[in-house]
Amino acid sequence: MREKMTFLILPVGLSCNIACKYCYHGCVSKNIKKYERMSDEILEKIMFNAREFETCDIDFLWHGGEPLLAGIDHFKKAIKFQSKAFLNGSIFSGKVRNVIQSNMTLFNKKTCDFLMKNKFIISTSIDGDKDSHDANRIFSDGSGTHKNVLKSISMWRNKGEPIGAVSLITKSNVHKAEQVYAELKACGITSCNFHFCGQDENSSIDTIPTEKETTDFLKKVFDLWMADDEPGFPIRNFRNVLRVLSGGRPMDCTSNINGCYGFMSITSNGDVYPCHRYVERKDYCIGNILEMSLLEIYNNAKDMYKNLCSVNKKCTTCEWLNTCGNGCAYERLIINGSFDSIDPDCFMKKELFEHIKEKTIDHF
Amino acid sequence: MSNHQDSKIIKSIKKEVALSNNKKQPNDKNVAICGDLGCSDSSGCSTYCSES
Repeated sequence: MREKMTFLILPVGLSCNIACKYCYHGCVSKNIKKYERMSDEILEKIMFNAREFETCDIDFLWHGGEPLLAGIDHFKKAIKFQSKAFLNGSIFSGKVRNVIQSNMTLFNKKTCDFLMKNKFIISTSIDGDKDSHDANRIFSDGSGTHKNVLKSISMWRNKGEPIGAVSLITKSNVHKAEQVYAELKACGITSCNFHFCGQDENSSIDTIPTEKETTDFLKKVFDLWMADDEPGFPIRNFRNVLRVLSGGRPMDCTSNINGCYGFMSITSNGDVYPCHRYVERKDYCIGNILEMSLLEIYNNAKDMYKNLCSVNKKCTTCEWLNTCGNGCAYERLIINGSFDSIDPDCFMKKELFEHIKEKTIDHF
Repeated sequence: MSNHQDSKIIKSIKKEVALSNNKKQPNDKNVAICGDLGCSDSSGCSTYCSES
């Protein structure tokens, strides 16, 4: 049995209340009035099925789309089922946590109090300064979300809780490394992770900077971060590399060779996928929770997981394999057409890794 | 950027890695997904993407 599982729950599927130009799920926000909320039956099954992973630590990661579209009563029910499943006479021996990835535009005092009371860990998305952020992260009427996100971050931080963030590197912020870094530090988030703007079939090509622009941006931000020397503001892209140089391993799924094994994603109709990135790609649906338990689905899908974690032969001799883990399996599939291809971000990552090694070589 | 040996960031990461290696955790434990879900500090990282 594994030691940790993360169940990605998509309570409203891929539906979202905003319409980011670079979203890898495309413009599902147009269908906001039609979204399907996960039924109580499925919610209850998830909690009771999850405890069959009895020795694992479990994270329930509420994702989307925008999970808060499901409404706070949905989360109240989830916590009720969860308490029932894990606290009363269960043989489950791991730890359970609730984590939410939200754009925070639906955040309010009621939501804030509930998430706080139930010890949720929150991550949001912010792309730096207002202009950079609002260039892409917009409501369906075209207006920016930056102001709303800052207000929500402030509300959460006033409770004394940390909040992480994902920041995408786009054409709008790629030449503003100093400003983006300063804004991220000032806006209240307590950690962040930069994402490459992908060449996914759904996202707009207009938002994608060149590989050189992206690596130059990351190198500059790394230099600023090291000059600040503030461990209390971790940036995962850089920490991953420094952890490997220190004899450890990276901390995210896409940087670990077998990273996919610890995840299952359940969408609003009960369909299960190895990860939320495959949702609505029926070829990668590994079962439905109304027909089989999560543990049965997981055990039946071992070949799929093995396939996802394929490593290209050329990568096996690369000194950075344990730092990049061959990247995200889904992106290898979508961009290159196969899981055993080379990470499409290979060039950019190598450039960054080499830069970090060169700049910190005296420390190791 | 300083090249001297007392970088607080690197010291904290080395400490964190030493702690996690001592626990002999298997290679696939505590792996986080896309977001940055709060990995926070030098005291062993108490949150989502961490080595807690």
